[in-house]
This record gives sequence, structure tokens and C-alpha cells, in this order.
Amino acid sequence: MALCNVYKLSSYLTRKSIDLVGSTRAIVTSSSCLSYKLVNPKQDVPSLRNIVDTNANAVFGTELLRGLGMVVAKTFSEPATINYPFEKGPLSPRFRGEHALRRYPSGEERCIACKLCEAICPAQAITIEAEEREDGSRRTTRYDIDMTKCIFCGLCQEACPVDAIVEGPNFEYSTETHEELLYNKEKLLENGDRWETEIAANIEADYLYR
Amino acid sequence: MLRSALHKVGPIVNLPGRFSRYSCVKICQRNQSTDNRIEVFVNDQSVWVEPGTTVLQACEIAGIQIPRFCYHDRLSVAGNCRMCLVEIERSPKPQASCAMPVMKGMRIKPDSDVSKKAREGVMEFLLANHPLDCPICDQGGECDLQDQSMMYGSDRSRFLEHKRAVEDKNIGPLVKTIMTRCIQCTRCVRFADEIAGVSELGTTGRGNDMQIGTYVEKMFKSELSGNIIDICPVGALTSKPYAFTARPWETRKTESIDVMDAVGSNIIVSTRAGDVLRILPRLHEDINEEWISDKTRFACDGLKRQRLTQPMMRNREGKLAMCSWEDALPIVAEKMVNTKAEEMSAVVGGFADAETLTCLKDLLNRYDSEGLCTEELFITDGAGTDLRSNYLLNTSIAGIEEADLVLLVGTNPRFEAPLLNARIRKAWVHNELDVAAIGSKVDLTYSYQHLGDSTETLKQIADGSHPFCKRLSEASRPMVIVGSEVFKRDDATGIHAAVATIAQNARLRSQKGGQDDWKVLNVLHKVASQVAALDLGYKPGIDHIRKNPPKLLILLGADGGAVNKEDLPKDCFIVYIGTHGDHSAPFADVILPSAAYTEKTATFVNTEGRAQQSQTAVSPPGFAREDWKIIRALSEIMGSPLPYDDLDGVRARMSEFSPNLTKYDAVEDANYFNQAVQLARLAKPSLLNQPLQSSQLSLADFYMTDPITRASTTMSKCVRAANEDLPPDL
Amino acid sequence: MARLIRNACSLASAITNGYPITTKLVPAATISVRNGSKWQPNAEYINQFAKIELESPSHPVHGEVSPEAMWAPEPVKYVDMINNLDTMTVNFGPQHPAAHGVLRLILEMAGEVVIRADPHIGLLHRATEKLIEYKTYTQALPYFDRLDYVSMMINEQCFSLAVENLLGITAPPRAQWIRVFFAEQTRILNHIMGITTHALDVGAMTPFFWLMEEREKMMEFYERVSGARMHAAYVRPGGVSQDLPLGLMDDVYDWAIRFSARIDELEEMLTTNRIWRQRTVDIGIISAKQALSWGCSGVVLRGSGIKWDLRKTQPYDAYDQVEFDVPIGSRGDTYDRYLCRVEEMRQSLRIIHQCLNKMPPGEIKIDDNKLTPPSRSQMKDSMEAVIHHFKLFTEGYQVPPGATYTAVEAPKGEFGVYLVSDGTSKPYRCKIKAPGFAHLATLEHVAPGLMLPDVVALIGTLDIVFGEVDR
Repeated sequence: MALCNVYKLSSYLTRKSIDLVGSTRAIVTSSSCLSYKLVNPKQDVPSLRNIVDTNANAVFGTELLRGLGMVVAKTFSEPATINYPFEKGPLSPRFRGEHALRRYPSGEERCIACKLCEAICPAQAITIEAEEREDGSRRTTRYDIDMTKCIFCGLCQEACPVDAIVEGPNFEYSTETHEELLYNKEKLLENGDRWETEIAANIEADYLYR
Repeated sequence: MLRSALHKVGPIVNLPGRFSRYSCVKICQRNQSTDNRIEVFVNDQSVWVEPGTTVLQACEIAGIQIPRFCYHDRLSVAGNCRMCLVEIERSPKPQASCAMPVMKGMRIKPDSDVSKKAREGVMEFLLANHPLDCPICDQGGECDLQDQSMMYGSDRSRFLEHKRAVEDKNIGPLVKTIMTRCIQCTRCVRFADEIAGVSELGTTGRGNDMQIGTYVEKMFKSELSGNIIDICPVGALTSKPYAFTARPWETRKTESIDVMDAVGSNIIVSTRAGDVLRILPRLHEDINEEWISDKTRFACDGLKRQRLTQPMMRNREGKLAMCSWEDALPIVAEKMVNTKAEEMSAVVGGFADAETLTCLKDLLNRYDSEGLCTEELFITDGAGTDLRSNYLLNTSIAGIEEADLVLLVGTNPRFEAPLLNARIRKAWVHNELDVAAIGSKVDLTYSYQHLGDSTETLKQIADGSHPFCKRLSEASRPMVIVGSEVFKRDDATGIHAAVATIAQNARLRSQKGGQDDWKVLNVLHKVASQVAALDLGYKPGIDHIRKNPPKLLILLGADGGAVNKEDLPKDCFIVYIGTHGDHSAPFADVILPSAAYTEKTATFVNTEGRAQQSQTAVSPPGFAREDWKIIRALSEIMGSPLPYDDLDGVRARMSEFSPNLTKYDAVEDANYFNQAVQLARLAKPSLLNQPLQSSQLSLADFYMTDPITRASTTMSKCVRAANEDLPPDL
Repeated sequence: MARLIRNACSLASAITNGYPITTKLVPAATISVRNGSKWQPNAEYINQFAKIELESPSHPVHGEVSPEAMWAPEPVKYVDMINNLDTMTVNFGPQHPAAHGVLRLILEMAGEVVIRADPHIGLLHRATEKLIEYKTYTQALPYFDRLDYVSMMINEQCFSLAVENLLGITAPPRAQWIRVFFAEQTRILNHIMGITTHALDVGAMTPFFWLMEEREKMMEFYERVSGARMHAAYVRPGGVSQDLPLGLMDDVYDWAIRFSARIDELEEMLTTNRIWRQRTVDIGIISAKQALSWGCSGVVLRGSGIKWDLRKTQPYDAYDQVEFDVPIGSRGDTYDRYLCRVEEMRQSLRIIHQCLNKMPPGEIKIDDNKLTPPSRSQMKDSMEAVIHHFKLFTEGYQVPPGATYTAVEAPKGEFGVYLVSDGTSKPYRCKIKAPGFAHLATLEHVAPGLMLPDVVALIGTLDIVFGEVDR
């Protein structure tokens, strides 16, 4: 019996101490921040009004009718969908889509084979090989991006010191085979030539934030 | 010891803390007065250092790294980069710690705000004129300027003015210069002056116009020129053949051993995707310190050209045609089984590793053949190769620094073993080592007494009638180094005997009277395989083949030109096991492609007798296989497999032959000089009248000496540049 | 040689008490080197195997063992007492759309009633934690988008806070407010997905279509600020990667003033709907005690009546400067959790409005190029900027040695990162505490006794996303 009492006491004390811990865990104690809100205070309160409401609702199915009304009303509103290949959603200048290698206006490729993009790529999707060109400049002989490995995090374009590798606005480049998504330097430069206007406009539009 | 004892005593004496510490220090000082070290404080931590130590070294002893650009452990102090500025108490301004000797009780504050601010300021000045080149600079990722800018520099600049530009210099086919990046630390100038001994680099102009260069455009003519790439803290001097190839983070580094000469320099092989990209030195204080020769560093492009990648066999028309291992090995095996033992021989070349030598020896011995020869020559009369002391560099390379007199006989160490020569130069500069030479008069980068090139001089020194003998007997630690090239001569035994006598006499007459274990006789080999081959009992030279014309000859990378088709009987079946289609492969009947030194884990013994392991950095190209595995496979097809099938097994067998071959990085003493001299006398040596000469006289002779360097385009560019004294690419 | 091998064999068999061993086991003892790297069997080791002979199952110690007995199926443990039938095992998923990903739930069914539920995971395991150990802190960040892939930026925020903790830095105020701004949008994104797919699973299709439109708008905001609709990689250690573009806050305001009406529509369709109530009220009850002992967090904890929200109890970023209420349920059933989520969306909207009003000007990432890369314009003329850019993108920044457990209130519960740094630029260890993992584990306790369709409702209300459960 005495043992039992000791047990009760100890369990009471532990519960008490848990409560204490619980109250001390709250680091911010300003009243405005310690506001909690019960989501279903009216639940199961057997007031007369409550009972009448519930029964009337059950008999007449008001909530079902209201829902139906809403659905009917919604059918007359403008649809949210767009007619995709002909209509497209908006894209911001920061959009990170298909990769492209850019050129200078003179036609000289920008990439200087510094390999920062290769180093930062978390998915190791980029492979670069470089050597000295005849004029002594540092150029890539190979610039491959495995688009199936790429996670489009945008770190490569952040790393590029000359804005050579960019993720352009194109997102429609699906292919039928895996091999077609293994981009080489030629393909990337071609992308750059095709999208140069858009890419340049995007970089221009975003210059404040770079 | 005493200190800890005092600490134990401390509580018993029960003095107040300060007093007990004070007394402790006093006693320590008294105790250390014998070695007169002085106490300095680095960040209030007490350090005992030798007087004359610099502040920078004292900090290093205390475990604090001071940033630096111009200071280098192995070079003289310049003190011009100012990066090592530290605050010292009671000094009005921060001091350049690399040039400041410590003083008693000095309080150094390397981590104080003043020190930090000083570094930040220096860094800002250095970067003010530095071009924005990181993305196109080969040094990027392993650049001291980058690292120290991150560690100690500010994160933004205040200088936005125009940067200075400097014209690039052309100093040869090995070192690329982008002089705008130069921060004028003058490490390269000091290296050229002090280590390489070629005073071709210098500074011109002053202040903002200061430039490093050769003044007139010419090649930086040194066999150690590649090392200025390593010591350059920025990207001003980079490797030309490696230009733009790879970034340091992409490459895999394998620690290995070089085989381009018999020194066995320790190297790091940088590889990417199965390609050897470059070779860098690895620190080994007893061999190469932190330098390597240009051949070691730049010949690696020869590993990709002229390679044998598939077994080949002569077809019916007598032409070599590709075949498979399954075709080639049975034919060789059949020939071997059907050839009499005395008609079977093997010749090994300069790149053979000890494992392969072991297997080949076991294979031939199994068929009772003793025809195992090395291409490189040595003496066989007298003690011959029976006593290790006869064919080793007994003093060891590091031992040169203790010597006070070196006599070079018939060797040009500058091109035969550039790092040994650098060691001699180091001792010549710092220890006032005297050098004398018998042989060709060549530029060794240090002054020496040339005793002519006749054998008569040698004879006179041996019998004590030459004036130089006086100098020899005065020396307390003399060395005699004989080059392996003299063994090509017909009177090799005579020369070796004479040299051995000189060495023995010098040893006995030296101040210690031969009582200490100082060794005088040294043989400098030229190829990496020779010492291991002699340790394993191979016969030096191909006399054996001349005497017993073989029906079947195995050439294990023997491309030195000692064996020619004309010397062999018409019906001799030649099996070539090697890496390059060089000298011997064209006249072989069967070619079995093998692995080069970067492609196998193998043992090489350097000229000191130090066994070292090379490591597999890349796999052999095509169908090429490791050499010892080829021989093991051959033995299996011949029906009597060798009793080991992995590297450990081979090595166990190797150490049965000679235990030192598996004691890696250890040098075993060889100590039978007396007996060797006596045995040499028995052989009745004689000397011919031909002058002693080296085959490598100028820098152009240095670069292409073996199959790998002959296949290297970089090396051929070097030869052209050295011949014309004008770089070929401009 | 052969004699030596023979000798060695007889020697070896002598030590092994005569058990026959072939020469293969003991190599020839002629080797004089130690061969320390190679393992050589000793007598004790060999004896251990000599006792069991694998050819026949009979053994003096273990007795006669028949192969049939060895391969017999497990005895049936559960018996359907109601119908007096064997139970049936049903594989729920991993291809079932209501499994919310690749959950393979093995259900033991007695008729329509579940008597055992055994969730199997691992089908989406990508070794993220291990991968992060081999990436720099910068490179590790995009992995967090891909954990709980419906609350991307909150995961990023958690990792960024953890790294900031180790570095001992705090993001500038504007960055903190931007983080809160987007964290609350993310919360709405997540709850839209959670509630509407839950409703879809139990048969209410319409809200899904309506609210996907709102989700689409919010993903546009994501795209405008970071360049990606989902995997933003926007919140970075030290702040955020780029400032909010001009006009974004106006558009968010336009959206926010309309969004509460969308929540009303959602509630109109569900909250009082009798089908919805029948499917959710008193289904999957988790009592407060159970919720605590099973390690539940977030809505699952609060739905059971526990007052716990990390944004309140240990506020991070700018949460101590915004006013909001934390919804608390009382019964711990599916319906209460639904109500909590709806209310949380309203509260998030309230926070978004406060962010729009209180957004301070200033830096968006810490002004220290040792940690955050310099801007493009700086890189054109400053050598320091070039060097720091180069080093940050190749080596990354070194984080001082230490460990931190940093948790945020993710929409699903407490999302935590335990990060250990050894002073290098790569984490030594990165343990991710995903709320969904603990919630999925409760399935085994809550599901027995429910009907099969209620299990679907239960999975929906636990808001499981396999990106974070499997990691």
C-alpha cells in the first residue's frame, strides 16, 4: 500500500515536472505570439439551436444544395485552363529552362573553359575538356551536358563568370530517345544562337538583381 | 624530461604558482644554456628556438602558419612580398617575419589585429595589379594567391584604377609565362640561381615597372626548369604542355616512383579518366627533396604515343600483324619448350621492375637456362656483382650533404641524375663542398677541379702519385662517384678497380681512418632497373649472348640498342615484351605489350639500393598487361606454372632472392669494400688509353634517352629548343 | 616447394584437430613476409565451420531437419474471427494513386476490416544524406527542394538556418522577411495539395480542380522569384539568392486578397458536407498521448490538441515579428486535422499580408563575400570578387567544426536538419528529420480496425510525401 502511494506520488511529480518543462519550452512569452485557436469549438455542444440546425440540415440537405449551387455558379465563370500549344503561361526573366552556350556579338564563343560550372554542378551533369586554341586562347574542345542528369538548379549559370552557359527560356525540348538529351557543345551553341534574343533580353531585364 | 620532473616536484615544494613557474623557467634556462636556445613567445605561448631562427620559423614551431609568397624553405630569404608581416611587441611597425631573426624574450603576435590588418593591406596591394584571370588561369584551384586571399585578404577591393600589364616572356617549350600575373616574389629567380645553378632569370626595372625575365629572349636552359612552375605561388609560370588541360579538383592523384633515371624520384601522377595528365614531385628528403627533373615531369606524354597495345606476330609474309593473346602466348610457349636451355636467353632493359625480373628469372631457371642479362653494362670480373657495395651509391644521396670532397669519374651527373647533381650543388653552396672530376669537361652548374679525362690520371690517383691525392687524404668525408657509362669501355674492370682503390685509400686515409661507417665508393647508374637486376643475379651486359648465340631471345623492354638483329643468329626467335614500338620491337617475331611505370604497382630499386613502389595510376592501354602477369601466363601455357599468382606471392618470392627488394624505402648498408678491392686485384685489371668521356654533354643530350622520352613530343621540342637556343613555337 | 606445402598442410591439419582442409585454405607457409593485409584462417575459425556440413540437413546436434520444414511458409497469425475465415493480404500500392507516392502498404484484411497495416518504404530512396556528405554546402542546397517536394522552400530554409547556425551568422532582415513571405506561400501550396488530394481520394474531385488554379498562381510567384516553379534553390545560407523582382509584391497582394474567398469555396464544398464529414469525423483518431509518444508533429500533433508550433515556441527568421494564431484541434481525428489545415491557410494568408506591409528594405544576403558570392558588376573590376567567386563555386566556404539540430515548422510538421561540420567545406554528416516519416509509422497503429476506404482517408490526412520519407 505504501509502495503504491509512493508510486502515485512519484508519477504525480513527474507529470508536474513535465508540465513545468512544457511551460519553459516556450521561448517567446509575449501574449500576442502565444495565441492558439481551437478549430472546432462548436462541435458537439448540445444547445437547442445546434440541435435544430443539425436536424434541419440533415432533413433538407441544405449544405448539399449550397455546394451544388456553388458548382453550378463556377461553371459559368471563365475557365482557368489555357489552350496549351497555342497559348502559353507567362515566364519570368529568371526562368531556368534548357541550357544554351552564348556567343559574343562578334561571333566568338563566350565560354573560356574555366570549368566552374563543372565544379559546382551538384548532379555532375557537365563534362568539359579544354585545350589551347591556335591563337593561344583557352577554349573547350568538349562541353557536354547530360540533360537527363541535370536538376536545373541554376548553379551553373550563377557560376559562369562570362554568362556563357545560361538556362534559357525554352522548356519544350522533349525527345524520343535518351541519347538526344545528351547535349554536346555544338547543340548548346546552336541553342545559344537560336535563343540569343530572348536570353539577352532576360539578362538585361534582370540586371538590377545580379 | 627535467621539466616534467620539476612539475612532479612542484606540488611538494608547495610554492605559490608564480614563483614555482619562475623557478622552473630559470632552471630550464640553466639546463638549456648548453644548447643556447632562447625563449620567445608566440601568442603568449613559450617556444624555445635556436638563435638565428626567423620569427616565421618560430611561429611554425609554435604551430602557427604565417602566410607568405616570397619565402620558401629551400631558398634564400628575399623578404619582398611583405605577406608575412606580424606584430611584435615593442616594435613600432609590423615586421616581415621571414627575414626577422628572433630575439630573446620576443613577443610575437601573429593573430593580433595589427597583424591581420597588415596582411589584409598587403593582399590588397598584391591584388591591385593582378589581372582578373582566375577563370582562364591554370593555377586556379591550386593558387597561393587565391587561397591566401580567401584566408587573409579582404572580400572587396577599393582599387578600381587600370591595372598594370606586362609582356609575356618566351622561356622555352616547358614553362609558359603570363607575366602580368607575376607578383615579383622572385622565387623563380632564386631557384634558378641557387638550386638550378643557371643564372638566367632576373629582375629588371623597379617599382611598378619591375619585371621578371631573361632580359634578352632566350630559353631557360636548365634540366630542373619545371620546378619553377611548382614554386610560383601564382599563375605567372605554368606548364606549357599541360596548359588548360585540367583543373586540380578533377584529377586523381597517385603517389608513385619515377623511372626516368636511377635516382627514383618520388612523384605524384595526376590522372583523369585513364589519362596521365601531368607528373608532380612528391616530397622525399633523402632522394629528391621537392624537385624533379624535366624529363620526369614532362615525358609523360610519351606514355600515350608509340604504345604497343595489342600482341603482334610475324605472319607468313614476315610482317608483324596484330593478334590476340590466345594466339601469341601458345606460340611463344611452344618455342620455349622446344628450345634447349643453353639456347634460351633474356635481355632486360632499363624500365624492368623487380617483380618481372623475378618472374623471368624463375621461368628461365626452371628450364635450366642461365641466360639472364641486363642491357646496361657492369663489371663481371673481380668481385663483380657479388658484393652489393660494388654497384651501389653507397654514400646515399642525402649523404652528399655531409661530404666535403666529391670526385666524379667518367660521369656527368647533371644529365645522368639531375637531382643528385642538385644535391651536390646544394652541398657546394651551403657546405663548401669541393668537387673534382675526371672525364669530359662539362658545365655541372658548380665549379670543380677538372683533372683531365685520361685514364692515366686515374691510375696516378690510385697509386698515390697524383697531386690530388693530398687533397683526398685531407678530406674527412670524401666521396668518389663513378658513372655507369665507364662500364661500357673495354677496360671497365680496370677503371672500377682503380676507382675502388682510390675510394678505399681515401677511406683509410681520411681523418677517421675508415673506422666510421662513412663509405666512399659510389656507382651512379643511369637506368632504373639495374640495381634490382643485379640484386636478383642478372648478368650485366650481353656477353653471354655473344658467347652462346641464342635460338630464343626474350627482350624485356631492351630498347637501349645493345641487341641488334645483326648480332643474332638468323634462326633466332625473338620475343619482345615492352611498352613502346621503339628500337627492338621492329625486329621481334612476337611482341607482347606490357605496362609502363604509371600503369603497374611494381618495385624499383634506385641507385642507392633503396626499394620503392610505383603505384597503378591508370590501366595499361588496349590489351597490354602487367609484365609479370605476362610471364606468369606464359609459364602456365608452358605447362609448369610459376608458384605464385598474385603480387604478394611474387613479392614473397622476390624477398627470398633478396630481402631488401621488399623492404620499401629502406637502404641497407653494403660493407665489403676491402674484400672487393682485393678481389678486384685478382682480376689483374688494366687500363686503356682512351679518354674517359660522357655521352651526354649538352642539355640537348639530356631529354631523349629511352623509349618513353623518345616517344614524347614535349621532349623532342625541348631538344630542338636546346639545340637552337630558340623556342620552336615562336 | 611441394614438400614445404605438404609440411604446411600437415601442420595446419594438426592444429585443426584433424579436420580435413584443402591446400586452398592454408597457403604455403614459405612466405617470409608478414602479409598483414591478408587474412589467414586460423584453427578456431575453421573449427567453427567444421561442425556444420551443408550437404545433408541431418546433424548430431541439431537433429534431423527436413528441407520442407526449412522452407515452410510462415504460419498464419491472424484469423478472421468475425467471418471465421482466413485473412487476406492486400498490397496497397506502390502504384495506387491514393498511396500518395510510392508507399507499399501491406494490409491484412478480415473482410473489409483492416487488422494489420504494414507500411513498406524505400522505393524512392536516393541516399540524399550520403550524397550531401560529398557535396559542398552550396551544392547540397538543391537536394532539399527534392525532399518534401510540395514544400520546397521551407526545406531549403531549414538547411540554410542550420548552416547559418554553424557559421554563427544571421540573414539580414529583408532576407528573413522574404523567407517568411515565401515559407507561408509554401505552406499554402502544401495544404492545397494535401487537402484537395485528400478530398480527391475520398471522392470529392471538385476542390482539387479549383485550387490547382491557385497553386498554379503561386508557382508562378516561385518562378518569378527564383526561376523555377518548384525546385527553387532560392533560400541560401546567408539570405536568399536574389531580391524580389519589382512588381512581385503587388501581384502577391492581388492574389492574397482574393485567396481567402477560394478558401471559403473550399470550405463550402467540404466542411459541412455530410459525405465529407462521414468519411472523416472520428476516423483515424490519434489521441494526444499517442501523438506525443509516436513523435508526431505539425498538424497531426495539433489536431490532437497539443499546443506546439515551432514558429511560436522557438521562432526563427521573422516569425517573432508577425502575428498569427495556431489552430488546435480537439478530437485528433481526420476531420480536425482538415480543419486545422484550412485554418492554417487562413493564418498563412494573414502572415503574407503582414509580410507585404512590413517588408523592410536592405540587403537580401549577408554582405560578406567569404560566404556569399559577389555580384556580377563587382566581378568585372575587382580581383577580390573574382577570387572569391572562383573559390566559392569550386571549394565552397569552410564551416567551423560543430553540430547543430535546426528545425522549422514545415507544413507537415517539424522538419529538422542535424548537421555536423568538421571544418571543411563539405558537411561531415547531414541527418534529415522528416515529419512524414514518423507520421507514416503511426499508420501501423491507427489503421487496424478501420475499413479499407478509411485507410485511404488516413493516408491522405497524414499528408505523406515520399520525397522526405524515403530521402
